[in-house]
Amino acid sequence: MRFHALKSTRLRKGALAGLALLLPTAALAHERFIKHDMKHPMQDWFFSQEPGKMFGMDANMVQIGLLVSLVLSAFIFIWFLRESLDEFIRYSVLSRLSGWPQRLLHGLACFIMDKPVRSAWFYALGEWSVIMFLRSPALVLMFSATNDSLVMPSYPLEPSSAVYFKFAQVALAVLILTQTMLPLAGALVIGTWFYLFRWGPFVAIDALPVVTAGILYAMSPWASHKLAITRLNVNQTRWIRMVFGFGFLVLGWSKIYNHNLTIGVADNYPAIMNDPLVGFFAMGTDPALRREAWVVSFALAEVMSGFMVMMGIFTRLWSTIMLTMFTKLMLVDFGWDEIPHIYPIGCALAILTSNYLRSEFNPLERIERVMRSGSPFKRFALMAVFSVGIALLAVMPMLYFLTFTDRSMLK
Amino acid sequence: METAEHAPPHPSEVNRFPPSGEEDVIQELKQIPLFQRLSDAEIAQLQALAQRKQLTAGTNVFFQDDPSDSFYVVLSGSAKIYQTSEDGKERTLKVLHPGESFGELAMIEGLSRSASVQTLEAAEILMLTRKDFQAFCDRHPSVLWGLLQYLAEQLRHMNEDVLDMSFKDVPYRVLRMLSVLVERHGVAGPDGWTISMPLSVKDMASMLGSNQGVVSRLLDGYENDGLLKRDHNSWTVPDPKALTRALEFAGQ
Repeated sequence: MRFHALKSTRLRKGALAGLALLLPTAALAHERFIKHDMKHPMQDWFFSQEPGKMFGMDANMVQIGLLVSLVLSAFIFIWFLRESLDEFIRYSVLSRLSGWPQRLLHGLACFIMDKPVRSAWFYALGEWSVIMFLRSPALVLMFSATNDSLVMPSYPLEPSSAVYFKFAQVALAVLILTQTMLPLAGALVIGTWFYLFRWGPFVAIDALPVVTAGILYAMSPWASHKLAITRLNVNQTRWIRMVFGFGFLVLGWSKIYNHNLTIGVADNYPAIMNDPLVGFFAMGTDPALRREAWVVSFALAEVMSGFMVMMGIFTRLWSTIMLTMFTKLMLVDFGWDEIPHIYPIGCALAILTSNYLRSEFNPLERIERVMRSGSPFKRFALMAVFSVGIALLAVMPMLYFLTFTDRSMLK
Repeated sequence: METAEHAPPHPSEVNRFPPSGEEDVIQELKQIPLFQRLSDAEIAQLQALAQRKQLTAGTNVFFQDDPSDSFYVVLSGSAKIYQTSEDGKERTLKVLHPGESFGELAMIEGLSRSASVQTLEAAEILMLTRKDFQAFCDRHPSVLWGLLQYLAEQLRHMNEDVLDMSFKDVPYRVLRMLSVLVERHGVAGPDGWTISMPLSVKDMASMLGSNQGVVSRLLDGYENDGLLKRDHNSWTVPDPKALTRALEFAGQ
């Protein structure tokens, strides 16, 4: 069922209440279950400013950044021209078909272009996804409690307060599983996330996807135990999509910042280095910098997908890619160590099965429609300039900025 | 969903608008209520702007949520307008026959389509894009009167349907639908008046706002009473006067 959007005060109060509840206790946060010890040292200069080079950046890094920007701009360009694409599909492809092939292709086109998919099985999958997304954090909380961890198994609890935290987590899990007082559960989840800042922003960034579940709970009604919550409304979908995308965008940047941890994980689980998209981004780089180029390509692939989900560009397509990636990581690469990824999987499923997807570029497109002239060439040129500009701004300045950062605190 | 996907076009419908030369096309278009006020020369201009499309049975002309960039006129065959809910349930709103236009409301509003249209049998349709139609209306405002008249008629029918839904029971609504179908689309023959269209009981039930079981039982009853004969793709009313009497009785 659908319910009213959260008033911002409820979220604020919830976050403060969560903080107040959790502040007296301490947690030590570091990656504990996923092995990340580096097998070979990295060439750290690659990630820093180098005098005498353009913008002080390594040419391989610039090349990867530009290639990612190019791919991102191509997706944005196609997105801006989706009306024309839609017209082509309707008049040149669908009009030649009939019966079930026509309906199937139409459904597929709607799925890719984030339009409503009106089908019984898609609706049923959407309902199941929301139920899974709503409840799966409870399983992770239980798993963490049995492993002396806070919220995620990666954050070990301090022995002096572990027992209180474990009981609190189990109580929170019970609230979630029984759908009781979900706004309180949301406040606790969001509050705990704020609490993680105590150990620095990177710990909080790592746990950012948890906030998506917190938002869903916080935006639920107090009488949540009486309701069958099986659909996300427009506001919930938007908030969850934006936070989910933003989480992966920031996680991508943090992978470049903390490149030793990233390559350490790859050294222990080499299968993750065989990703075709990442391989494409690293194409043509210096073989002597293979591991460094992989880190940047891997991180920027995450930045790109996070940006597209956050801004609502082919949300379903990218959520599906992320869903596949998480499932592979959980089932193939890391195994049980990656079990907390069950809730980003639930989140990605809930987003991609929503029929209320919107793009953050809609206002820009409305302006373009008003200003549109009769010349298709002008329109294409304007769209191309916009797309390239947005993509470059999304990737290059931050990549440049990261070459100035001091990483001594990570040692 | 029950549709006669591969049903051949009914001869009576095909004969009504036979594919032919330009003169015949103009005569065809003049039969359409929307264009009745136009002269032959104006119709010829309109015809030059429009596209004719031959569609097989079970083809969607457009889908719900599509952009509304054109409107259509059925030249031959029949099609149904239906809405699909988010959970995939379909509801037939109307069956379209030759001469009827569709898609004009969303086109005027500039919003996305509120319903889908699917052919029930092989059909020929005329498509006019929004841009061309607007340009034509600017030059020939009289076509807008035709459009207004058509929309007013649709609104009146809709009001009648709402009244029927509110105050009349299902037997009355079924008989009224049969009566309207005979009046508008019936073809006189030796066995009575035949309505040729692959309309399923499910479609009929959803148009009447009732359930399939109830409508099916009522139709069986009317068939037993001799009010109706059902064949694969056609419905025959042997005695329209008997149908009218039954309708009057059901309305009391």
